Amino acid sequence: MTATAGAERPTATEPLRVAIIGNPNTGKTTLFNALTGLRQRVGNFAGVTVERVEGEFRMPDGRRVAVLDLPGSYSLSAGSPDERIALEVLLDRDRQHWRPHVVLVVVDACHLERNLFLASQVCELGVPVVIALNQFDMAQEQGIEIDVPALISAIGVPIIPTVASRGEGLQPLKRALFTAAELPPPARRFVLPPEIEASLAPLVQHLEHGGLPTGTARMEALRLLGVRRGEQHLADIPDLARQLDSARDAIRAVGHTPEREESEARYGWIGELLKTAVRRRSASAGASTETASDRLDGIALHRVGGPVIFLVIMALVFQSVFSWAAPLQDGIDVVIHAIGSRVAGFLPDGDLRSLVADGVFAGVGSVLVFLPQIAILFAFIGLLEQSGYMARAAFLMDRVMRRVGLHGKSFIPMLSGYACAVPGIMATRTIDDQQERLATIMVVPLMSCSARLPVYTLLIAAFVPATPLLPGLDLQGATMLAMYLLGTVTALLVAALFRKTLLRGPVRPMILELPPYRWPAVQSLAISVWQRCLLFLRRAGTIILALSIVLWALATYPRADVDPALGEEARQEQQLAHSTLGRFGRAIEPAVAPLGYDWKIGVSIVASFAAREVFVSTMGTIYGVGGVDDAALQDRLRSETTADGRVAYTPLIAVGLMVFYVFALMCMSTIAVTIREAGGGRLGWKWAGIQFAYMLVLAYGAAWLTVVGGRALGFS
Amino acid sequence: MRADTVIVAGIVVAAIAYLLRRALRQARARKAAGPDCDHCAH
Repeated sequence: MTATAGAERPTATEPLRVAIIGNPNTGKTTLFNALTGLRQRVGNFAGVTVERVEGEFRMPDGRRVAVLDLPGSYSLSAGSPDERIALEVLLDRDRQHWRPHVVLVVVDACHLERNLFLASQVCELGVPVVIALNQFDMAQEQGIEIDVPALISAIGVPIIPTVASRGEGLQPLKRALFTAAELPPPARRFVLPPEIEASLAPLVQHLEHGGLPTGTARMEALRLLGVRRGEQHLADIPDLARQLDSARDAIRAVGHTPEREESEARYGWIGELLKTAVRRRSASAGASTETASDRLDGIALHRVGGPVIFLVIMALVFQSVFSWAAPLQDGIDVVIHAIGSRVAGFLPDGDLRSLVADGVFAGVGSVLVFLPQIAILFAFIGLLEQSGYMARAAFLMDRVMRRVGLHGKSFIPMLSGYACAVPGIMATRTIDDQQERLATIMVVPLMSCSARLPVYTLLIAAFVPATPLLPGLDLQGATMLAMYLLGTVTALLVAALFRKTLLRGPVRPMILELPPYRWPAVQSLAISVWQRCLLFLRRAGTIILALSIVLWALATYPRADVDPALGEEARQEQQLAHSTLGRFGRAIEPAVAPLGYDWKIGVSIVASFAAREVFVSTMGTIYGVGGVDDAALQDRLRSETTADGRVAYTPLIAVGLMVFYVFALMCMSTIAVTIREAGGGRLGWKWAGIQFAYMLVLAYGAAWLTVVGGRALGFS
Repeated sequence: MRADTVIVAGIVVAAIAYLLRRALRQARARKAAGPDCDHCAH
């Protein structure tokens, strides 16, 4: 029996549809980017792609190819939401009518045995297949000699060696996609014992009646034997569970174990295949088989040394964010200052000039100066991701994660949260268990995202002295590290609390693959940093600009009859107090007064619900530091006094304010993504409500405790 | 009314309109493809 049904050919006008699938961390996304010229995020750890991502490229003769990058899967199971996406697309069960003409299976040449399991399943789907033997160079370095022609004849599909990170093998691969589209789809290459085939026959027939092509039905029948839970993508086939149970009973009756049939059959076949097609060069006499990665892991994963190295790396990252960014920040400051003065100089004295100087340049400019910090932070994160160190960090964190009741897979979403909670929450799709997934969603926003960076930086630069603590680390860097650690540790504690109360359930162990260490690709690193910077600039030029303008208007109107005899600062103060913003601030002041904040911080906090960085631009607008000099805003904050002449902002209040920002969920986008990912509808709203409420209570309580506790201990 | 006051009023109204449109877009996106977070391109 062959799997011929279901194969489609592209028509003359439509592009060739190619779906890319493969085990996690085989370089699928790198290959996708190399083929399409797109810039999807790439990381040297599993679970970077959690959605279907589409791109397109053209052959030299103009033929179009549409490519779909599917999430990484070890097999065609539908356990977690991201694996389900892959299976639904390949079987067109998602009803999006994107059934691929060719499936491109990306196989890690260094781990053929495990990778070929998925490939052998895909080869039974009734769709032409091409295999990219990726990271071929690394396999050669490791002494793995692969007889590609032997593999081709054994598997029956085109196989192309590639090194996606260097663009090697792309042209033959592109040609092979078109060649494969013309070939009949591959079929199962191994034979099941006749008694198993006979036991499976009724189930295969049932699946065929349910609409699956012959080859797919045979593959699914074998696969379903080992699946414990219901399969959503087959939910529309009636009576499937009963048929499956009878197939299992029949297999048990002939002395076999249904759950093991598939893995035994596939791995048995793969084992035989590799015996003939792969040879390992034996290490020379006396030489160690230990690779450089193994030796590095001996240090990086050491029980004591590992966590210490992790902390040292993190401390260096945050210290560099401060010390390396400073000269660049000054440069940007000077440029913006020069442009601001020039533009304002063209305008006559009046409202328009004030809007440009105090609204646009003071507001947007005060945020723009943080661009170097964003760039440095993301350069480091990219470096750690691409080198493979992040996977080690995940390994180190696994023990901690399990202790708080989270799955080791939760580490990646939490790590993504350092950049932005939205992709972090979306990355929880790799977690199979709903309770574990919800617990992770609940705590991801506690990880300090990049929007908090300008707030921390402004307050630390203004109120924390650069006292040296250790070689290469001063008090400013340490304070920044403390804020990130505070968010992370609290996230773990809150997760433990959720797992012991609302989201109770067993903790399952994680199998983590440690990729070999790699030199980061400079180009891809530069692209990811550049993209982050562009996004930051786009945000500054859109939402922060619009909010700065609105806040300027609220701080300027209605106009007060200011006493001309007063000094500049006093006149400004009088106008602010009379303005809409001032009146609103006074109204909410009682709510923030217990935290030691005045109404100006109060309105800045309220304004930053739209975007956290707006806290900085609002302070810039309120203080009308039209010169957009970052240092000027820091000076104004330090010298600000209350009506009774006391210093308005002290280091203790600044620390309390940072603690507030560590915990408060002030981001509309995060709330929106939680609603969707927690189940949508009433359920989504419920969890988003719980998340917002607990974070607000935590933020307010912790900021209050910081200020009151600090005062009790004699700090000011 | 002075010319610059009119320009300022126009700019402020445009900024408010932009923010409202963005909020609306986010509310709609939540129901459809996903939230529009221009912070991380999601």
